[in-house]
Amino acid sequence: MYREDLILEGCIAGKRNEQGLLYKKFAPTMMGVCLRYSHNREEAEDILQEGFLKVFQNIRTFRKEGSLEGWIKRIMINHALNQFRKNRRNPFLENLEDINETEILDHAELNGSIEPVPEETLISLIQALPQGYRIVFNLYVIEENSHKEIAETLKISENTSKTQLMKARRLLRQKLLKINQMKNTILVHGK
Amino acid sequence: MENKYKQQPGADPEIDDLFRKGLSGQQTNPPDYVWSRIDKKLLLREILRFNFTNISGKWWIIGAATIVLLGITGYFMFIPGTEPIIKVAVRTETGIALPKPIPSSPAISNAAPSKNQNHKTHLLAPTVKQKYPTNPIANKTNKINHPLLETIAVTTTKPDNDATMNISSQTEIASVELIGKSVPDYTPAGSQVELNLTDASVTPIEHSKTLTPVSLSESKQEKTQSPNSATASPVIPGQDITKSRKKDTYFSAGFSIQPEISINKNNSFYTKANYWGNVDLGFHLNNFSVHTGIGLGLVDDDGHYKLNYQSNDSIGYYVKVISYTYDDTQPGQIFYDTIRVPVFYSVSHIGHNLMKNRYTYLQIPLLLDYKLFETPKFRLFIKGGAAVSFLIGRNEPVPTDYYLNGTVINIENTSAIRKTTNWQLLLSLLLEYKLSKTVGIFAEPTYRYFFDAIRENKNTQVQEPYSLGLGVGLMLNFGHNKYKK
Repeated sequence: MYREDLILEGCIAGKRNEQGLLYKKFAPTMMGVCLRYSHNREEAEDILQEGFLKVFQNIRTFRKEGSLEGWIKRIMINHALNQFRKNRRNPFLENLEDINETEILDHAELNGSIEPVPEETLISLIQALPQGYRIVFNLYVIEENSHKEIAETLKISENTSKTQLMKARRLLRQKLLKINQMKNTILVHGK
Repeated sequence: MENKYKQQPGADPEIDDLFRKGLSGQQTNPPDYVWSRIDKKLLLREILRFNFTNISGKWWIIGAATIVLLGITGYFMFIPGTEPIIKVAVRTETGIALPKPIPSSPAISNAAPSKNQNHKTHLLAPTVKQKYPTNPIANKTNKINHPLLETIAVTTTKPDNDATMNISSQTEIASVELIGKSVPDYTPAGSQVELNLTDASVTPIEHSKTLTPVSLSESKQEKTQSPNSATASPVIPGQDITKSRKKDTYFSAGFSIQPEISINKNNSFYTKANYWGNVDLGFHLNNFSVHTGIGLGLVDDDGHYKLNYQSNDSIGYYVKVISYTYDDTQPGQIFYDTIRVPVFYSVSHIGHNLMKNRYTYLQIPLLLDYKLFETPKFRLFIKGGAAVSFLIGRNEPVPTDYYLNGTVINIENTSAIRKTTNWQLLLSLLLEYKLSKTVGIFAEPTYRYFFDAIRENKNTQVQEPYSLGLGVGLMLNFGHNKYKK
């Protein structure tokens, strides 16, 4: 319906209508990103709101070298990370206290195949992760950053990044297996 | 698969793939209020970070004109010299017995004081429109601070406080003759001499002539050369003995509703009705006043949408045989019972819809007004100035509900898009009917000229739209400060 370059020009000129069109075009995707980085939906909406304000504020600096969507996504993620830094001094330390280690390290429980689950369930599983796990998992698995990049971005060591990722995976696997078990139980009883 | 996790400690490709595939392109529609919040914050930023370098020359001219207008208004309002002041000057015709010159005044430092002589004093007052009293010299004693006489007590009159003063010139109002009044010959410098004129012979003069004050040095020089001269001596500059300063300041608050019709002369389709609710605050000084305030405008406009949708429509029919019979008596013939069965198919449509969009504007005016006339019951003001309005809310319903029997493929909004900021010139006449000293009702026909198009759609753009409105409301006047000094 609308050409991206025209929308971009309008946003650079500060036209509200084009800003609205840009929002309409990218908000659903960015909301998906924000949901992954936040603890709940309200937090995701706040990140989305402030992230788009930053986008409109800095849109003149977009060099058109990459995709506009990628640039906006980068802003959203950076804003999400900044929010976490503001809220907690070191989420990667605090998270260690929050986790029940025995629960994670029980390898026996982690064997089993994972069945597909709906997107909403995946989102809620990620949101339920401790903050540090969630960030590293998102950056490594979804954004496909390396541990070195993650370490530089978050100003942590590579080993911390690796540990956080490993624990996140274990926790997710454990929860997915539980979901599968529950599903099977329901099906058996249903029969 | 079961042992995958153990074989690759730390890695879990199954989990990674599940989340990567499931979430990398995931989309979720945020609630509408997120954009509303962003929209409001953008508006606030726009207002707070107004970039003056982007203002075109046209706006600089308008701004400069406004400042000049305000400056002129301020000059008339606040410069004390422009207030009505009654001046009375004293003129000596003969060698008045003057006290010793004041050392601080070099021009008269060598003055030779005269002895007791008859002398005449003229009292000067401004021309007044009202008829003067028969005897302009009332029994009031006012003191004149005069550089030569230091202090002289004269009896004169003060015009009626309510008299309309016309300060076009100074006119003699009385002639006071002091015969044989003794004035100390050699008064020490700096001392005060009081001449009481109450016993003097006073002759009222009815607007005899206009006198122009001259400088003190000229007066003294002439006096020295011809001390006994009976000719008119120079006039000593006028001194204020009765100073009347009249100021009428007050504030006003107006509350009004204003239906308005915005006119698009090129396309009557875009001629629309608007409704404003205004709160106006004004500061009045005499006939002038400055106004600002806030207005909330509700505007309806047409929303045009082009919808591409698919629906399962009947594209024809076929004939279905339900049963057949044959008659032995009519060999070779079969009779069929048939029905027509419609055939449906997914068909694309393009629909055009007209919706009612609603917009909310916030307006901030800056107006100057002048009171054209005032009677005990009515007042008429003429107002002019600039206003800026911001689009703060929009309700643009999308017509999806009308196509429930089909599937909407896409919706293209072809509406004329309203601009977020509009600058306008406002002109109005305000007629107030005073219910009491503080409360009045008013009617205000208004002309609003938009400096630029209010919509951005090039097809419907009108560069110079205007609107006409009629505001009615309530006016409260308070904080009156009417005084004389």
